Amino acid sequence: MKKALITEAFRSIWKTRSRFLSILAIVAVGSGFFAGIKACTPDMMMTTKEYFKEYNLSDFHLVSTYGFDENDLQALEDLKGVSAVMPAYSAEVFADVASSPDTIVKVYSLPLNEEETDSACMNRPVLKEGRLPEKKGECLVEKTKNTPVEFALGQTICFRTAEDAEMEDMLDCDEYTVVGVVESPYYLNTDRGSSSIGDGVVDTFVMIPEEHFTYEVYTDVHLLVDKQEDLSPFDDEYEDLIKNDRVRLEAVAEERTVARYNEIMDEANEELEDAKKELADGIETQQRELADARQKIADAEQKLRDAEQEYQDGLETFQKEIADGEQELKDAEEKLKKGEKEIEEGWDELYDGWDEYYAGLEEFEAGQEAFESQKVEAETTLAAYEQQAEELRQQISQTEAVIAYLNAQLAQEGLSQEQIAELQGQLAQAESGLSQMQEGLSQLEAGISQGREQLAAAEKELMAAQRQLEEARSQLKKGERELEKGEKELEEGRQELADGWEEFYEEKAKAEQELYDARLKIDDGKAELEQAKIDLAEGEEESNREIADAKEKIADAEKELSELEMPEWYIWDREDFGGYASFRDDMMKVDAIAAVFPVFFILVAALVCLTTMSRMVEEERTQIGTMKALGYGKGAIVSKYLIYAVSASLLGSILGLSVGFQLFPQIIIGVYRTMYTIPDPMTPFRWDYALICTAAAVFCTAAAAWLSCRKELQSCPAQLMRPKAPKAGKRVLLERIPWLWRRFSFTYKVTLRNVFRYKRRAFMTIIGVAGCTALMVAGFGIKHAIGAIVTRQYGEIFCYDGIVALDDGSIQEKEELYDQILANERIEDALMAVQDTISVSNGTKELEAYLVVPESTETLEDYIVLRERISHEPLLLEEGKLIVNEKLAKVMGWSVGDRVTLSDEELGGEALIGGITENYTLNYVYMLSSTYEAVFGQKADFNTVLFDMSDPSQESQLSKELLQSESILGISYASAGNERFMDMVNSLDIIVWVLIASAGLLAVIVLYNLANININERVRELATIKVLGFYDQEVSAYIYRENNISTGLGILLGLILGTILEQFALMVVEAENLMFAPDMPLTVFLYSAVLTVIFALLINLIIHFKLKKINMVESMKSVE
Amino acid sequence: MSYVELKEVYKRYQMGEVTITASNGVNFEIEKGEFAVIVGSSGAGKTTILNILGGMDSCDEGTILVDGRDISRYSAKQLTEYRRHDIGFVFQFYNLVPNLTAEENVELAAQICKDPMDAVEVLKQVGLGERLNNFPAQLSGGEQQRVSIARALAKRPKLLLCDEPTGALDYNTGKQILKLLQDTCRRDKMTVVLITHNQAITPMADRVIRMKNSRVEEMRTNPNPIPVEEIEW
Repeated sequence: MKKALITEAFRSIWKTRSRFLSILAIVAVGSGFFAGIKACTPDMMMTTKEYFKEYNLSDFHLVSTYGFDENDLQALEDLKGVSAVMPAYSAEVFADVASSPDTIVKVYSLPLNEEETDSACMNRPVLKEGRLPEKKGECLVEKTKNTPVEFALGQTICFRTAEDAEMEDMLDCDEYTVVGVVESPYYLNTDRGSSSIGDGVVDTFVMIPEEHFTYEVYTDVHLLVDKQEDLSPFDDEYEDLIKNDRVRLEAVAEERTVARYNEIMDEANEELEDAKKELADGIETQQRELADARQKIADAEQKLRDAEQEYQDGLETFQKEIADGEQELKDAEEKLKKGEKEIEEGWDELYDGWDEYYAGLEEFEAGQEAFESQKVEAETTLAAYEQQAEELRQQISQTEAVIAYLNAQLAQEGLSQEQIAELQGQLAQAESGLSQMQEGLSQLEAGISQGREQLAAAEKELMAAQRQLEEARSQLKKGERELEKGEKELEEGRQELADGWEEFYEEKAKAEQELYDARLKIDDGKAELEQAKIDLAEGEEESNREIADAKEKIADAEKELSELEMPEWYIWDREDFGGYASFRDDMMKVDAIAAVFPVFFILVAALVCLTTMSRMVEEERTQIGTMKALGYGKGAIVSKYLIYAVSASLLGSILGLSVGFQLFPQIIIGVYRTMYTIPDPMTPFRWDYALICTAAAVFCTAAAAWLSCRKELQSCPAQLMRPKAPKAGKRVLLERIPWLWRRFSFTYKVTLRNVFRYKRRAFMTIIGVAGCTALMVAGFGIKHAIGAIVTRQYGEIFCYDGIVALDDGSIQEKEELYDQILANERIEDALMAVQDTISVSNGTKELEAYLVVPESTETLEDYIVLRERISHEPLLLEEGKLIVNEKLAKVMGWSVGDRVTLSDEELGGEALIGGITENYTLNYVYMLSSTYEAVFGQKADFNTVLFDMSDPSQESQLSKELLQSESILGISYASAGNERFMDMVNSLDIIVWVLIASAGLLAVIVLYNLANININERVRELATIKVLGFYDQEVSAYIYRENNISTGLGILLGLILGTILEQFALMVVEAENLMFAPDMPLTVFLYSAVLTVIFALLINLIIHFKLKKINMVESMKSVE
Repeated sequence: MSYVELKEVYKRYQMGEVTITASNGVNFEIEKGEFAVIVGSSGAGKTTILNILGGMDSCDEGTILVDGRDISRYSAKQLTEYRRHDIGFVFQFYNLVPNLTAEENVELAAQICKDPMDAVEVLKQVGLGERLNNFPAQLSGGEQQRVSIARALAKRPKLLLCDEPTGALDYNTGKQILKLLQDTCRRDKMTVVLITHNQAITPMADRVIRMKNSRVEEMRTNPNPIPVEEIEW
């Protein structure tokens, strides 16, 4: 190929980029949608397959009513086809949390320190937060809407058991710290199964280290079977494998349960013998012990009597001793008192003595005083006397001197006589005076000596008195001392007495205490004795009772043993795991939708490419002619258009695929991830789909390019160089019907003629719009068909609020149970019925169906409405006739009056069909109890009670109340089924919206593309009518009218196609026990049509602005 | 005052960085009922003037008076109305809607007018009474141009603007078309403005406006226009 040609090809891509992009876009949308939707199911399968592989999901889960012992495990390990066995524990407990105290927790064992790669470690938890437990006391929780908020990382959670169970029998600890949040591959949805405690529904699971479980045997066993490494769990091959393994497992179960039964029987018998022997021993021991006890009591009584005697003696002695002691002390007291009195008297005397003494002393002192004063007086007198005496003596001496002098004078001669007479007269006088004086002196001296003597005598007397007083005083002092001594002695005596008393009282108290103690001891002894007697009596009674109990127990055990049930193994494969089956079904549904819908996109995309390419070739007609004239070969010319088409479709395809493979699986799996716990989807680029898709897209566009060119290339260059004669106007078919044609206004005639003129484009528009509408009809239709199941099945047909499953028992017991249920205040009304799975057959085909036999038909319509679907005419159960549901009748090819074979295990019979009732999920056969008897040859054994509640919001309370009765096996609520279906409907909603959005996108691209071609092709015509003075609206309307007719036709076609498409899609999805609502409400058509019109209007709006931009100068240009 | 008057009309186109002046102060007037020919070589600015006069484009400066109304200040909507009611346009390449018959093509224009002529009547006038129900593809070029003229006339326009109406036709057919236009002008007192590069046909016009370099080089009236039949080129 020449370089210029290639350059030209790429340049023309750039110049017509909007056309190039429109091809690219339509191919991208078509292939992206096709491949993306197609990839959803494989992606989902691959994601879950890898998920299961990574976390080693077990193939089987076995639970036994008796647990699994070593022999059971060995038998399983030895089984052919089993590659790994993991024994495990599980327990059901209540979570002790404030937010929802009745949360039922399923506790699973988690092996600690397991190797990641160990195939024996199955159903490994998927760690979402935190870490795995490393030691005891740690646990893992999950996070779902049913998990209590307290189950959070770092929290300590507490379990409690149901009232009739002991924690120690299950777990050795009831408190665990949450260390991790996990998901489990075992549970794909939020359904955690049923429980035997509380309201019967497990809310959440917790995983704790295996060591915490205290069961004697394992409760659960998980198995892996030998299978190919990369076998998808959704393959038929896997199903076959599991089916075969199940058969083998059932055989083991049969064998092991019988062996286990015998083992238990033997063990129990042995135990029973032991118990009996123990009982005999017990009786003997009891007798011996009783005798011992009686002897002991007798001994004790004797001892007590002795003690009493001793006490009485002691009491007597004590009393006597007390009396003596008291007397002695009293005597001493008396004596003391006497002594006291003596002392007192002594004191009195002493005081008298003292008084006397003091009186004497006073007297003496007065005397002394008087004496002193007298003495002074006397001394004075005496002194006066002495002075007188002195004076006298002086006078005497003077006189004597005078005498001497006179004598001397006399003696002197010369003296006259007269002088000697006078001197003699004087001497005689002096001698008389002297003698007188001498006499006075002697007298005075005698007086003085007498006074002196008297004074001395008085003094002596005083001295004597004083001595006397001294003496008395010393006497008194002595007396006093003596008295004091006496008093002291008395005090000592008193002290002694007090001590005596004290001692006495002490002794008395002591003695009394002793006595009291002795008394107490005796009393205690007595009481003890009494107690011992009572104890003895009680002990005797008790031991008798114990013996009786033991006997009874033995009897019970013997009875129980005689009634021992065979152990039962429940064998669950993945179908029975939480949500697995519904997940697979949902995947299949997506696949079914994927099979139908994307084809439309591819088809429309191909047609759009064809139109666009042929338009392009038409436009470049002149250029083709020039090239041809220049001598280029056909191949070279065609190659440009092939490059154009192939590069557009290839790029579009790559773009679409790379987005589609991501986008659609992400959206659709994302929707399912809200219902199922699955990991992030793996969305690989799927080469197989990619190649098919790209090849188809490239082929379509290339073929379109080639086909468009081929015609042109056959013309000669000259012809090509001339402008192509405009497409000749033609009379349209409608004009051949003048009466009709005449009715159209001029504008519509123009429009109609244009529509027919551009037939191919109109046809394309019709196809595109029809595709869009059809997809919407199918989308809305499927939504209705599935959505209506819920509202009709659970709203109109099954009106009951719930079903109680009853345990086996006599009719009377069941009647009682029924009354008991009816008596519950939350129950408004109830109806007993048989619900059983039976097989129905039409001779060639056999199906499972639910048999429902109401006790009476009077109130049946309150619980289950039997009616014809279209007319809603009620159907009545008649004697000997059945009513079957529509789907069952359709699958089996039955109609009213046909004879049907029913079988329930060994029993069976035939009956006529009396009516066909509306029903959507599962298959049902209804009959009267008399019919039941006639068909099965036995009385109807009512095993369920349908009920209506007075307040449907109190389900869990009701469950709790009813499940207390052991004869009630379980309760299921209609709302639960309803909710499950609601989830399914909601998930479908998203898919429908994806469909609708994609359809809308498709419609917009197609319509826009076609409108664009239309405008480009007719730009001259449009410019001309603008010049003619058409308003913008009129110009737009000129084009709209054509589009609207095509769109209208497209919508009509789409409604029809959509209905077919919907029917087909539902047919693919529909199962044998599920009927979708077969009617199609008008709203489905209405919504689809209105949405399509909205898309068309959107396009019209875009066209309007495009038309406005058309330049009138175009009209001046010459024809291309 | 003249029926059509252009005063100092300027029109400039911005082509990237270059400004092209398509009308550089154009002045002329045409009286009612005149057959005016605007003549000039390619690129002289004839078509620009025709577009502006026909309400398909607007000028940047100047006044355009048609029957006393200044259309230079018209809005897009007013221009559409002006085209709708006052202008008849005859294209060089006829621009018939290929999907409509001759009659329908005329009706297409007539149906949007206030007081249109009868389509059949007009077609008869232009001599196509026999070919009413033919599609354009079934008509010769001359016949197509007649349909085009009929379509323009059916609107009873104030102005009949013709853009090289003979450009795609052979000599004789072209002559016939010119005759039809001249006859229409004379008979119906229709004001006709014809654009051509062909100097030879100027003698048939009442008024000749010669354009060169986006200006009116010369405007003269022709007191004695010659019938088309007598003109040879």
